[in-house]
Amino acid sequence: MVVIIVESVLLGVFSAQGWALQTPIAITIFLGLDRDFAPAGAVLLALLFPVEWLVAGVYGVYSLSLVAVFFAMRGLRNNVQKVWGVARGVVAAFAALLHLGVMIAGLFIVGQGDTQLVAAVAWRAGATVLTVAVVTLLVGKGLARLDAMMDPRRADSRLKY
Amino acid sequence: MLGFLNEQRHKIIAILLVVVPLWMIAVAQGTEVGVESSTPTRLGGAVVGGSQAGFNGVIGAVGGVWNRIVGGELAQENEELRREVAQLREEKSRLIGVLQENSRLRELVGFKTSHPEFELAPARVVGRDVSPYFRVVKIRISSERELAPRMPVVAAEGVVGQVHRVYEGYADVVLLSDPRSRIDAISQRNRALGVVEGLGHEADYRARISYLTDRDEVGVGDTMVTSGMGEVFPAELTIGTVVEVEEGERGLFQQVQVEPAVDISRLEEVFVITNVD
Repeated sequence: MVVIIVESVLLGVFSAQGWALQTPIAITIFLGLDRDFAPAGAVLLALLFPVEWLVAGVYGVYSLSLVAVFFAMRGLRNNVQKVWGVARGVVAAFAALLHLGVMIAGLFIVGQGDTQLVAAVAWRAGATVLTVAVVTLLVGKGLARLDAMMDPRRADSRLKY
Repeated sequence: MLGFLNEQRHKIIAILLVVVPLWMIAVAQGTEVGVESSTPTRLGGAVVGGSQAGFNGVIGAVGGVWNRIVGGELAQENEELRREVAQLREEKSRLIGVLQENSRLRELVGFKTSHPEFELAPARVVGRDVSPYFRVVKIRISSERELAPRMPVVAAEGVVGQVHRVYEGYADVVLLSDPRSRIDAISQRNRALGVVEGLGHEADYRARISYLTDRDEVGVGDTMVTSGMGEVFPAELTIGTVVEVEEGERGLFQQVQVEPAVDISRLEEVFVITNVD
């Protein structure tokens, strides 16, 4: 939560609104790939409302897209490299596309066919995919490192893969 | 009971994850700008806004020290000159509007002019939305005035946007470049009517003007101001300058782009107009 709030403030201070890092997607991917279902789902559930307040978009559409990403990551969990490397970056890029797809579908339905709104969102597709891939790797590595510091045994067991 | 909940926790969480966003969408008022907030939303949003303001203070202080080191007196002088230019532009724009209004009223009903006095609530920008799709800033309100959704937000140079959601002491402002934003506009030169709609582009914050027919003859450099017809913005507030004009694909409407008068990327202080009828 702190990461997301700091991001919003930095975007304001450095006048870089269009270069949002999409940390909510990165955190959702981390939760989906690296955490057990119940705790990860509970954390995501708790994040949905604050994320909506920080996104200030069309209420609920961003959250629905995050949930879609979360379930997709659960499905891929055992078929992806266990460390935060290139493969997970590629998965993050696809997750960003899925997020964008659900957002576009949601906005199209909620906006009753408002093509301008959909076009504005789709216009960001390329940059979004690239940004999410890079940011997810950084966030994933950072949080995994934090995990290792908090619980060294957990880190040891992961090294066996 | 607890045993049952524990056993079924996966299913319960999965259902909640699907139901909560769908519920949010159901209670939202579509893509409309300016919505009423429930009490939990107002309180929760205020907590988030408070956190943003706190971090903004710390980061702003660090940035300020850095700017003083790098820019020194030159930066201060630049800032003063920029403010002065903005003030003069706004005065010029309002003067043109008032003169045109005077002229039209003299012709129609004789000497009668009216100048609405705006009640302004000052506010400070404390954060921006964390998605690249929307153009929203969070403001902290520095007065006791009660804000409401859809109230106009302006800066010295012109229109900034409108209040979307109000929290306790904070508010989300949908900028005029947000793809959901629609502002009724009029050309200051020839009174051609159109609707300024945000494009959502990240680099230039441009908007487009819809519903301008080929006969309206809008040209590059024309100043667009609020028409006052949407009952959200008072008339004659500067929106921006026309920077691109192309013929529409089917030849009916022109494709016109407008650059906001306000430098949205440098937005720090804004005013909310609280007495628009």
